[in-house]
Amino acid sequence: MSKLDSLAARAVLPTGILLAIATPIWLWLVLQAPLDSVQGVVQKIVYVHPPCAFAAYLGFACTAIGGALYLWRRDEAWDRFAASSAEVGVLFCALVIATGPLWARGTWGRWWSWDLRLTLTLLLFLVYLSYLLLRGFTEGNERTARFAAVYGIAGLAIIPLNYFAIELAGGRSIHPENLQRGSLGAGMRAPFWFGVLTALLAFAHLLARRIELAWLGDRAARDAAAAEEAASWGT
Amino acid sequence: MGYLIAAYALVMASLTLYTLHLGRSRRVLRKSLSGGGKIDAR
Amino acid sequence: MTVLLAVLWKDLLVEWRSRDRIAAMGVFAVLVVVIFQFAAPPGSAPESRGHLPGLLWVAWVFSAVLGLNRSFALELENDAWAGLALAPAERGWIYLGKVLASLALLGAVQLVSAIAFALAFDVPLGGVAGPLAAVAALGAVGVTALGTLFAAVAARTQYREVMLPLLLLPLLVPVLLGAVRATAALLEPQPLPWPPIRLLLVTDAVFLIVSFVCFEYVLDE
Repeated sequence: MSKLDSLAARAVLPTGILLAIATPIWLWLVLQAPLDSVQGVVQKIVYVHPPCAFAAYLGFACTAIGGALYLWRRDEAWDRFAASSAEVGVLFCALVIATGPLWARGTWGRWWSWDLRLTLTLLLFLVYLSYLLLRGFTEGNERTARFAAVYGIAGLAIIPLNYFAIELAGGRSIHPENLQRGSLGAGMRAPFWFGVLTALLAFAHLLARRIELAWLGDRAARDAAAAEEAASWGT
Repeated sequence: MGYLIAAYALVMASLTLYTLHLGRSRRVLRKSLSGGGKIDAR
Repeated sequence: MTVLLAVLWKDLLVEWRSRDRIAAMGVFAVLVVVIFQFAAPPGSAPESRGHLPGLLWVAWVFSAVLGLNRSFALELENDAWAGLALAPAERGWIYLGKVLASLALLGAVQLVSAIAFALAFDVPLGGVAGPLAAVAALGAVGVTALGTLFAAVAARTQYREVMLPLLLLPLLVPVLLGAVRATAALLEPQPLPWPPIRLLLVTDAVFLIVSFVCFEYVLDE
Protein backbone atom coordinates (compact mmCIF):
# COMPACT_ATOMS: atom_id res chain seq x y z
CA MET A 1 0.00 0.00 0.00
CA SER A 2 1.71 3.08 -1.20
CA LYS A 3 1.34 6.71 -0.28
CA LEU A 4 0.48 7.32 -3.90
CA ASP A 5 -2.52 4.99 -3.79
CA SER A 6 -3.94 6.48 -0.60
CA LEU A 7 -3.35 9.97 -1.98
CA ALA A 8 -5.35 9.05 -5.07
CA ALA A 9 -8.19 7.59 -3.03
CA ARG A 10 -8.33 10.66 -0.81
CA ALA A 11 -8.28 12.93 -3.86
CA VAL A 12 -11.43 11.50 -5.39
CA LEU A 13 -13.88 13.49 -3.31
CA PRO A 14 -12.17 16.91 -3.33
CA THR A 15 -11.48 16.80 -7.08
CA GLY A 16 -15.04 15.68 -7.64
CA ILE A 17 -16.41 18.60 -5.66
CA LEU A 18 -14.16 21.11 -7.42
CA LEU A 19 -15.17 19.66 -10.78
CA ALA A 20 -18.85 19.86 -9.89
CA ILE A 21 -18.39 23.53 -9.05
CA ALA A 22 -16.18 24.38 -12.02
CA THR A 23 -18.31 22.77 -14.71
CA PRO A 24 -21.41 24.96 -14.46
CA ILE A 25 -19.23 28.07 -14.13
CA TRP A 26 -17.37 27.07 -17.28
CA LEU A 27 -20.61 26.42 -19.16
CA TRP A 28 -21.94 29.79 -18.07
CA LEU A 29 -18.73 31.48 -19.25
CA VAL A 30 -19.05 29.69 -22.58
CA LEU A 31 -22.60 30.90 -23.01
CA GLN A 32 -21.57 34.44 -22.10
CA ALA A 33 -18.57 34.46 -24.42
CA PRO A 34 -18.79 36.81 -27.37
CA LEU A 35 -19.44 35.44 -30.84
CA ASP A 36 -16.54 35.29 -33.20
CA SER A 37 -17.05 37.65 -36.13
CA VAL A 38 -15.53 35.25 -38.66
CA GLN A 39 -16.60 31.79 -37.57
CA GLY A 40 -19.82 32.47 -35.72
CA VAL A 41 -21.13 30.28 -32.98
CA VAL A 42 -19.13 27.17 -34.01
CA GLN A 43 -16.01 28.92 -32.80
CA LYS A 44 -17.15 28.19 -29.26
CA ILE A 45 -15.77 24.69 -29.70
CA VAL A 46 -12.51 26.41 -28.76
CA TYR A 47 -13.64 26.18 -25.15
CA VAL A 48 -13.75 22.39 -25.23
CA HIS A 49 -11.39 21.11 -27.95
CA PRO A 50 -8.00 22.55 -26.82
CA PRO A 51 -8.79 21.93 -23.11
CA CYS A 52 -9.19 18.23 -23.91
CA ALA A 53 -5.86 18.40 -25.72
CA PHE A 54 -4.16 19.74 -22.58
CA ALA A 55 -5.51 16.77 -20.67
CA ALA A 56 -4.50 14.30 -23.39
CA TYR A 57 -0.90 15.47 -23.44
CA LEU A 58 -0.72 15.71 -19.64
CA GLY A 59 -2.04 12.17 -19.56
CA PHE A 60 0.73 10.85 -21.71
CA ALA A 61 3.36 12.76 -19.80
CA CYS A 62 2.05 11.15 -16.59
CA THR A 63 2.10 7.74 -18.25
CA ALA A 64 5.71 8.12 -19.31
CA ILE A 65 6.89 9.68 -16.04
CA GLY A 66 5.00 7.10 -14.00
CA GLY A 67 6.68 4.38 -16.00
CA ALA A 68 10.10 5.88 -15.52
CA LEU A 69 9.48 6.17 -11.78
CA TYR A 70 8.39 2.56 -11.74
CA LEU A 71 11.64 1.48 -13.37
CA TRP A 72 13.57 3.52 -10.83
CA ARG A 73 11.64 2.69 -7.66
CA ARG A 74 10.06 -0.66 -8.58
CA ASP A 75 6.94 0.41 -6.70
CA GLU A 76 3.77 -1.03 -8.31
CA ALA A 77 1.92 2.11 -7.33
CA TRP A 78 3.78 3.99 -10.07
CA ASP A 79 2.73 1.40 -12.60
CA ARG A 80 -0.87 1.80 -11.48
CA PHE A 81 -0.43 5.54 -11.91
CA ALA A 82 0.98 5.09 -15.41
CA ALA A 83 -1.67 2.62 -16.55
CA SER A 84 -4.52 4.70 -15.14
CA SER A 85 -3.17 7.84 -16.73
CA ALA A 86 -3.02 6.08 -20.08
CA GLU A 87 -6.63 4.99 -19.87
CA VAL A 88 -7.94 8.41 -18.88
CA GLY A 89 -5.61 10.16 -21.30
CA VAL A 90 -6.63 8.09 -24.30
CA LEU A 91 -10.24 9.10 -23.69
CA PHE A 92 -9.36 12.78 -23.75
CA CYS A 93 -7.19 12.19 -26.81
CA ALA A 94 -10.09 10.53 -28.61
CA LEU A 95 -12.27 13.52 -27.72
CA VAL A 96 -9.73 15.91 -29.25
CA ILE A 97 -9.73 13.90 -32.48
CA ALA A 98 -13.53 13.75 -32.49
CA THR A 99 -14.17 17.43 -31.79
CA GLY A 100 -11.49 18.71 -34.17
CA PRO A 101 -13.26 17.55 -37.32
CA LEU A 102 -16.57 18.83 -35.93
CA TRP A 103 -15.00 22.26 -35.64
CA ALA A 104 -13.35 22.04 -39.04
CA ARG A 105 -16.49 20.87 -40.77
CA GLY A 106 -18.54 23.58 -39.12
CA THR A 107 -16.06 26.24 -40.12
CA TRP A 108 -14.56 25.45 -43.51
CA GLY A 109 -16.60 22.48 -44.59
CA ARG A 110 -13.86 19.84 -44.51
CA TRP A 111 -13.78 17.02 -41.99
CA TRP A 112 -10.06 16.44 -41.98
CA SER A 113 -6.89 18.18 -43.03
CA TRP A 114 -3.42 17.05 -42.16
CA ASP A 115 -2.59 20.13 -40.19
CA LEU A 116 0.17 20.11 -37.63
CA ARG A 117 -1.59 19.96 -34.28
CA LEU A 118 -4.34 17.55 -35.21
CA THR A 119 -1.90 15.18 -36.92
CA LEU A 120 0.37 15.33 -33.89
CA THR A 121 -2.55 14.41 -31.65
CA LEU A 122 -3.60 11.61 -33.98
CA LEU A 123 -0.11 10.16 -33.74
CA LEU A 124 -0.28 10.47 -29.96
CA PHE A 125 -3.55 8.58 -30.07
CA LEU A 126 -1.92 5.76 -32.03
CA VAL A 127 0.90 5.56 -29.52
CA TYR A 128 -1.63 5.47 -26.68
CA LEU A 129 -3.42 2.59 -28.40
CA SER A 130 -0.21 0.65 -28.93
CA TYR A 131 0.68 1.24 -25.28
CA LEU A 132 -2.67 -0.17 -24.14
CA LEU A 133 -2.39 -3.11 -26.53
CA LEU A 134 1.08 -3.87 -25.22
CA ARG A 135 -0.27 -3.90 -21.67
CA GLY A 136 -3.11 -6.15 -22.75
CA PHE A 137 -0.97 -8.69 -24.54
CA THR A 138 1.86 -9.06 -22.07
CA GLU A 139 1.62 -11.69 -19.40
CA GLY A 140 2.76 -11.16 -15.86
CA ASN A 141 2.31 -7.99 -13.87
CA GLU A 142 5.97 -7.23 -13.43
CA ARG A 143 6.88 -7.77 -17.06
CA THR A 144 3.87 -5.74 -18.22
CA ALA A 145 4.90 -2.88 -15.98
CA ARG A 146 8.47 -2.92 -17.27
CA PHE A 147 7.56 -3.17 -20.95
CA ALA A 148 4.87 -0.52 -20.65
CA ALA A 149 7.29 1.82 -18.90
CA VAL A 150 9.83 1.47 -21.71
CA TYR A 151 7.18 2.07 -24.35
CA GLY A 152 5.83 5.07 -22.49
CA ILE A 153 9.27 6.64 -22.37
CA ALA A 154 9.83 6.02 -26.08
CA GLY A 155 6.38 7.41 -26.83
CA LEU A 156 7.06 10.60 -24.91
CA ALA A 157 10.39 11.13 -26.69
CA ILE A 158 8.58 10.90 -29.99
CA ILE A 159 6.30 13.87 -29.39
CA PRO A 160 8.82 16.65 -30.03
CA LEU A 161 10.32 14.64 -32.90
CA ASN A 162 6.89 14.29 -34.50
CA TYR A 163 6.29 18.00 -34.14
CA PHE A 164 9.36 18.82 -36.19
CA ALA A 165 8.72 15.98 -38.60
CA ILE A 166 5.21 17.07 -39.44
CA GLU A 167 6.32 20.68 -39.72
CA LEU A 168 8.97 19.52 -42.15
CA ALA A 169 6.39 17.68 -44.20
CA GLY A 170 4.58 20.99 -44.51
CA GLY A 171 1.85 20.56 -41.94
CA ARG A 172 -0.54 22.97 -43.45
CA SER A 173 -1.37 25.32 -40.68
CA ILE A 174 -4.97 26.01 -41.36
CA HIS A 175 -5.45 25.04 -37.76
CA PRO A 176 -7.77 27.53 -36.14
CA GLU A 177 -5.38 28.10 -33.25
CA ASN A 178 -3.06 29.99 -35.51
CA LEU A 179 -5.78 32.42 -36.28
CA GLN A 180 -7.09 32.22 -32.76
CA ARG A 181 -3.93 32.98 -30.83
CA GLY A 182 -4.08 36.45 -32.20
CA SER A 183 -7.82 36.69 -32.00
CA LEU A 184 -8.57 35.05 -28.66
CA GLY A 185 -9.76 38.51 -27.97
CA ALA A 186 -11.75 40.29 -25.37
CA GLY A 187 -14.04 38.06 -23.38
CA MET A 188 -12.58 34.85 -24.80
CA ARG A 189 -9.58 34.37 -22.58
CA ALA A 190 -11.51 33.69 -19.40
CA PRO A 191 -13.74 30.91 -20.73
CA PHE A 192 -10.74 29.43 -22.56
CA TRP A 193 -8.45 29.18 -19.56
CA PHE A 194 -11.33 28.22 -17.30
CA GLY A 195 -12.06 25.47 -19.79
CA VAL A 196 -8.48 24.29 -19.50
CA LEU A 197 -8.80 24.33 -15.70
CA THR A 198 -12.04 22.36 -15.85
CA ALA A 199 -10.52 19.79 -18.19
CA LEU A 200 -7.51 19.36 -15.94
CA LEU A 201 -9.79 18.95 -12.92
CA ALA A 202 -11.77 16.35 -14.83
CA PHE A 203 -8.52 14.60 -15.69
CA ALA A 204 -7.37 14.67 -12.08
CA HIS A 205 -10.69 13.38 -10.79
CA LEU A 206 -10.88 10.55 -13.31
CA LEU A 207 -7.24 9.67 -12.71
CA ALA A 208 -7.78 9.50 -8.96
CA ARG A 209 -10.81 7.25 -9.44
CA ARG A 210 -8.98 5.04 -11.89
CA ILE A 211 -5.94 4.61 -9.63
CA GLU A 212 -8.18 3.70 -6.71
CA LEU A 213 -9.94 1.17 -8.91
CA ALA A 214 -6.60 -0.28 -10.04
CA TRP A 215 -5.47 -0.65 -6.45
CA LEU A 216 -8.73 -2.37 -5.53
CA GLY A 217 -8.32 -4.68 -8.50
CA ASP A 218 -4.79 -5.60 -7.50
CA ARG A 219 -5.96 -6.19 -3.92
CA ALA A 220 -8.73 -8.47 -5.19
CA ALA A 221 -6.30 -10.40 -7.36
CA ARG A 222 -3.89 -10.80 -4.44
CA ASP A 223 -6.69 -11.98 -2.16
CA ALA A 224 -7.85 -14.47 -4.77
CA ALA A 225 -4.34 -15.80 -5.26
CA ALA A 226 -3.79 -16.09 -1.51
CA ALA A 227 -7.12 -17.89 -1.05
CA GLU A 228 -6.23 -20.31 -3.83
CA GLU A 229 -2.88 -21.07 -2.27
CA ALA A 230 -4.39 -21.59 1.16
CA ALA A 231 -6.97 -23.92 -0.34
CA SER A 232 -4.29 -25.96 -2.09
CA TRP A 233 -2.51 -26.61 1.21
CA GLY A 234 -5.68 -28.23 2.51
CA THR A 235 -5.47 -30.93 -0.17
CA MET B 1 -24.76 25.25 -34.45
CA GLY B 2 -25.33 21.54 -34.71
CA TYR B 3 -21.60 20.89 -34.74
CA LEU B 4 -21.16 22.96 -31.61
CA ILE B 5 -23.81 21.07 -29.70
CA ALA B 6 -22.51 17.75 -30.98
CA ALA B 7 -19.02 18.56 -29.74
CA TYR B 8 -20.13 19.63 -26.25
CA ALA B 9 -22.59 16.76 -25.95
CA LEU B 10 -19.92 14.26 -26.99
CA VAL B 11 -17.40 15.51 -24.46
CA MET B 12 -19.78 15.83 -21.53
CA ALA B 13 -21.57 12.56 -22.21
CA SER B 14 -18.46 10.43 -22.64
CA LEU B 15 -16.74 11.84 -19.57
CA THR B 16 -19.89 11.39 -17.48
CA LEU B 17 -20.38 7.84 -18.72
CA TYR B 18 -16.78 7.00 -17.94
CA THR B 19 -17.12 8.43 -14.43
CA LEU B 20 -20.24 6.36 -13.85
CA HIS B 21 -18.48 3.26 -15.17
CA LEU B 22 -15.58 3.79 -12.77
CA GLY B 23 -18.01 4.33 -9.90
CA ARG B 24 -19.90 1.17 -10.67
CA SER B 25 -16.73 -0.90 -10.97
CA ARG B 26 -15.57 0.42 -7.62
CA ARG B 27 -18.83 -0.57 -5.95
CA VAL B 28 -18.60 -4.08 -7.38
CA LEU B 29 -15.01 -4.55 -6.27
CA ARG B 30 -15.57 -3.17 -2.78
CA LYS B 31 -18.43 -5.58 -2.18
CA SER B 32 -16.26 -8.55 -2.97
CA LEU B 33 -13.28 -7.50 -0.90
CA SER B 34 -12.78 -8.35 2.76
CA GLY B 35 -12.77 -5.28 4.95
CA GLY B 36 -14.91 -3.44 2.44
CA GLY B 37 -11.89 -2.41 0.43
CA LYS B 38 -11.18 0.61 2.55
CA ILE B 39 -7.97 2.04 1.26
CA ASP B 40 -6.38 2.24 4.72
CA ALA B 41 -7.28 -1.26 5.82
CA ARG B 42 -4.36 -3.50 4.94
CA MET C 1 33.10 -3.62 -26.59
CA THR C 2 34.12 -7.23 -27.04
CA VAL C 3 30.56 -8.18 -26.14
CA LEU C 4 29.30 -6.07 -29.01
CA LEU C 5 31.63 -7.71 -31.48
CA ALA C 6 30.84 -11.14 -30.12
CA VAL C 7 27.10 -10.67 -30.49
CA LEU C 8 27.50 -9.09 -33.92
CA TRP C 9 29.77 -11.86 -35.11
CA LYS C 10 27.50 -14.58 -33.75
CA ASP C 11 24.38 -13.16 -35.35
CA LEU C 12 26.02 -12.60 -38.71
CA LEU C 13 27.65 -16.03 -38.66
CA VAL C 14 24.37 -17.75 -37.87
CA GLU C 15 22.72 -15.73 -40.60
CA TRP C 16 25.46 -16.62 -43.08
CA ARG C 17 25.00 -20.30 -42.41
CA SER C 18 21.26 -20.37 -42.99
CA ARG C 19 20.64 -17.11 -44.83
CA ASP C 20 16.96 -17.41 -43.93
CA ARG C 21 16.41 -13.91 -42.58
CA ILE C 22 18.10 -12.11 -45.41
CA ALA C 23 16.43 -14.25 -48.04
CA ALA C 24 13.01 -13.57 -46.59
CA MET C 25 13.69 -9.85 -46.27
CA GLY C 26 15.15 -9.55 -49.74
CA VAL C 27 12.43 -11.45 -51.52
CA PHE C 28 9.79 -9.55 -49.59
CA ALA C 29 11.22 -6.13 -50.47
CA VAL C 30 11.46 -6.99 -54.15
CA LEU C 31 7.94 -8.41 -54.07
CA VAL C 32 6.60 -5.17 -52.62
CA VAL C 33 8.24 -3.23 -55.41
CA VAL C 34 6.77 -5.56 -58.02
CA ILE C 35 3.31 -5.52 -56.49
CA PHE C 36 3.30 -1.74 -56.43
CA GLN C 37 4.23 -1.78 -60.08
CA PHE C 38 1.00 -3.62 -60.77
CA ALA C 39 -1.10 -1.90 -58.16
CA ALA C 40 -0.14 1.63 -59.12
CA PRO C 41 1.70 1.67 -62.44
CA PRO C 42 3.27 5.10 -62.75
CA GLY C 43 2.80 6.99 -65.93
CA SER C 44 5.65 9.08 -67.17
CA ALA C 45 4.02 12.27 -65.90
CA PRO C 46 5.88 13.67 -62.89
CA GLU C 47 2.70 13.94 -60.80
CA SER C 48 2.14 10.23 -60.78
CA ARG C 49 5.71 9.55 -59.73
CA GLY C 50 5.40 11.60 -56.53
CA HIS C 51 4.64 8.55 -54.45
CA LEU C 52 7.67 6.59 -55.51
CA PRO C 53 10.00 7.58 -52.66
CA GLY C 54 7.33 6.68 -50.10
CA LEU C 55 6.82 3.38 -51.82
CA LEU C 56 10.49 2.52 -51.62
CA TRP C 57 10.54 3.29 -47.91
CA VAL C 58 7.40 1.26 -47.28
CA ALA C 59 9.13 -1.70 -48.88
CA TRP C 60 12.22 -1.15 -46.73
CA VAL C 61 10.36 -0.62 -43.46
CA PHE C 62 8.17 -3.69 -43.83
CA SER C 63 11.10 -5.76 -44.88
CA ALA C 64 12.97 -4.52 -41.81
CA VAL C 65 10.06 -5.51 -39.56
CA LEU C 66 10.14 -8.96 -41.10
CA GLY C 67 13.81 -9.31 -40.28
CA LEU C 68 13.54 -7.77 -36.83
CA ASN C 69 10.85 -10.24 -35.87
CA ARG C 70 13.50 -12.90 -36.19
CA SER C 71 16.17 -10.90 -34.44
CA PHE C 72 15.68 -12.62 -31.12
CA ALA C 73 14.14 -15.77 -32.49
CA LEU C 74 17.22 -17.89 -31.96
CA GLU C 75 17.51 -16.92 -28.33
CA LEU C 76 13.84 -17.64 -27.78
CA GLU C 77 13.72 -20.95 -29.56
CA ASN C 78 16.83 -22.38 -28.01
CA ASP C 79 16.13 -21.24 -24.47
CA ALA C 80 19.11 -18.95 -24.69
CA TRP C 81 17.16 -15.98 -23.38
CA ALA C 82 18.45 -16.49 -19.87
CA GLY C 83 21.93 -16.43 -21.31
CA LEU C 84 21.30 -12.96 -22.68
CA ALA C 85 19.70 -11.74 -19.50
CA LEU C 86 22.37 -13.09 -17.21
CA ALA C 87 25.29 -11.88 -19.30
CA PRO C 88 27.57 -10.02 -16.93
CA ALA C 89 28.47 -7.42 -19.50
CA GLU C 90 26.59 -4.18 -19.94
CA ARG C 91 23.42 -5.24 -21.73
CA GLY C 92 23.62 -2.14 -23.85
CA TRP C 93 26.47 -3.70 -25.79
CA ILE C 94 24.34 -6.73 -26.57
CA TYR C 95 21.75 -4.31 -27.84
CA LEU C 96 24.25 -2.54 -30.10
CA GLY C 97 25.54 -5.82 -31.45
CA LYS C 98 22.02 -6.84 -32.40
CA VAL C 99 21.39 -3.46 -34.00
CA LEU C 100 24.52 -3.68 -36.11
CA ALA C 101 23.65 -7.18 -37.26
CA SER C 102 20.16 -6.11 -38.30
CA LEU C 103 21.64 -3.03 -39.93
CA ALA C 104 23.98 -5.16 -42.02
CA LEU C 105 21.12 -7.34 -43.22
CA LEU C 106 18.85 -4.40 -43.92
CA GLY C 107 21.60 -2.60 -45.79
CA ALA C 108 22.10 -5.52 -48.10
CA VAL C 109 18.37 -5.77 -48.71
CA GLN C 110 18.14 -2.04 -49.36
CA LEU C 111 20.81 -2.30 -52.02
CA VAL C 112 19.17 -5.17 -53.87
CA SER C 113 15.68 -3.72 -53.69
CA ALA C 114 16.90 -0.28 -54.77
CA ILE C 115 18.19 -1.84 -57.94
CA ALA C 116 14.89 -3.63 -58.49
CA PHE C 117 13.08 -0.36 -57.83
CA ALA C 118 15.23 1.54 -60.31
CA LEU C 119 14.55 -1.05 -62.97
CA ALA C 120 10.84 -1.45 -62.30
CA PHE C 121 10.03 2.24 -62.24
CA ASP C 122 12.69 3.46 -64.60
CA VAL C 123 14.27 5.72 -62.02
CA PRO C 124 17.87 6.70 -62.69
CA LEU C 125 19.57 6.13 -59.36
CA GLY C 126 23.13 6.00 -60.62
CA GLY C 127 23.84 9.70 -60.25
CA VAL C 128 22.54 9.94 -56.71
CA ALA C 129 23.80 6.60 -55.46
CA GLY C 130 26.07 8.07 -52.80
CA PRO C 131 23.61 10.46 -51.16
CA LEU C 132 20.86 7.88 -51.51
CA ALA C 133 22.97 5.34 -49.68
CA ALA C 134 23.50 7.88 -46.90
CA VAL C 135 19.78 8.54 -46.58
CA ALA C 136 19.07 4.82 -46.70
CA ALA C 137 21.60 4.24 -43.95
CA LEU C 138 20.27 7.02 -41.73
CA GLY C 139 16.73 5.73 -42.07
CA ALA C 140 17.86 2.16 -41.48
CA VAL C 141 19.61 3.18 -38.26
CA GLY C 142 16.38 4.72 -36.97
CA VAL C 143 14.35 1.66 -37.86
CA THR C 144 16.76 -0.90 -36.44
CA ALA C 145 17.60 1.11 -33.32
CA LEU C 146 14.03 1.23 -32.07
CA GLY C 147 13.12 -2.00 -33.81
CA THR C 148 15.66 -4.06 -31.93
CA LEU C 149 14.41 -2.75 -28.58
CA PHE C 150 10.83 -3.58 -29.46
CA ALA C 151 11.76 -6.90 -31.00
CA ALA C 152 12.98 -7.93 -27.56
CA VAL C 153 9.72 -6.64 -26.05
CA ALA C 154 7.49 -8.25 -28.66
CA ALA C 155 9.30 -11.57 -28.32
CA ARG C 156 7.94 -11.86 -24.79
CA THR C 157 4.32 -11.03 -25.58
CA GLN C 158 1.45 -12.93 -27.08
CA TYR C 159 1.02 -12.44 -30.84
CA ARG C 160 4.65 -11.43 -31.10
CA GLU C 161 4.78 -11.10 -34.89
CA VAL C 162 1.87 -8.67 -34.85
CA MET C 163 3.09 -6.88 -31.75
CA LEU C 164 6.33 -5.64 -33.28
CA PRO C 165 4.82 -3.59 -36.14
CA LEU C 166 2.07 -2.36 -33.79
CA LEU C 167 4.66 -1.02 -31.38
CA LEU C 168 7.19 0.17 -33.91
CA LEU C 169 5.29 1.82 -36.74
CA PRO C 170 3.62 4.65 -34.82
CA LEU C 171 7.02 5.67 -33.54
CA LEU C 172 8.72 5.60 -36.94
CA VAL C 173 6.89 8.65 -38.28
CA PRO C 174 9.82 11.06 -37.86
CA VAL C 175 12.18 8.60 -39.53
CA LEU C 176 9.82 8.03 -42.42
CA LEU C 177 8.99 11.68 -42.94
CA GLY C 178 12.63 12.70 -42.95
CA ALA C 179 13.79 9.80 -45.10
CA VAL C 180 11.01 10.11 -47.68
CA ARG C 181 11.51 13.84 -47.94
CA ALA C 182 15.22 13.45 -48.50
CA THR C 183 14.73 10.61 -50.98
CA ALA C 184 12.10 12.59 -52.88
CA ALA C 185 14.50 15.50 -53.22
CA LEU C 186 17.23 13.19 -54.51
CA LEU C 187 14.93 11.68 -57.12
CA GLU C 188 13.91 15.09 -58.50
CA PRO C 189 16.94 15.35 -58.87
CA GLN C 190 17.99 17.95 -56.38
CA PRO C 191 20.91 18.23 -54.02
CA LEU C 192 20.41 16.67 -50.61
CA PRO C 193 18.39 19.07 -48.45
CA TRP C 194 19.60 19.67 -44.91
CA PRO C 195 16.36 19.83 -42.81
CA PRO C 196 15.29 16.20 -43.34
CA ILE C 197 18.84 15.00 -42.77
CA ARG C 198 19.00 16.99 -39.55
CA LEU C 199 15.70 15.45 -38.46
CA LEU C 200 17.03 11.98 -39.22
CA LEU C 201 20.24 12.61 -37.32
CA VAL C 202 18.41 13.89 -34.24
CA THR C 203 15.85 11.10 -34.38
CA ASP C 204 18.51 8.42 -34.77
CA ALA C 205 20.44 9.84 -31.83
CA VAL C 206 17.34 9.94 -29.61
CA PHE C 207 16.32 6.42 -30.61
CA LEU C 208 19.76 4.97 -30.01
CA ILE C 209 20.15 6.63 -26.62
CA VAL C 210 16.67 5.76 -25.36
CA SER C 211 16.96 2.16 -26.57
CA PHE C 212 20.48 1.70 -25.23
CA VAL C 213 19.39 2.87 -21.79
CA CYS C 214 16.09 0.99 -21.74
CA PHE C 215 17.35 -2.29 -23.12
CA GLU C 216 18.35 -3.71 -19.76
CA TYR C 217 14.81 -3.23 -18.50
CA VAL C 218 13.52 -5.30 -21.35
CA LEU C 219 15.56 -8.41 -20.73
CA ASP C 220 13.87 -10.49 -18.07
CA GLU C 221 15.79 -11.42 -15.03
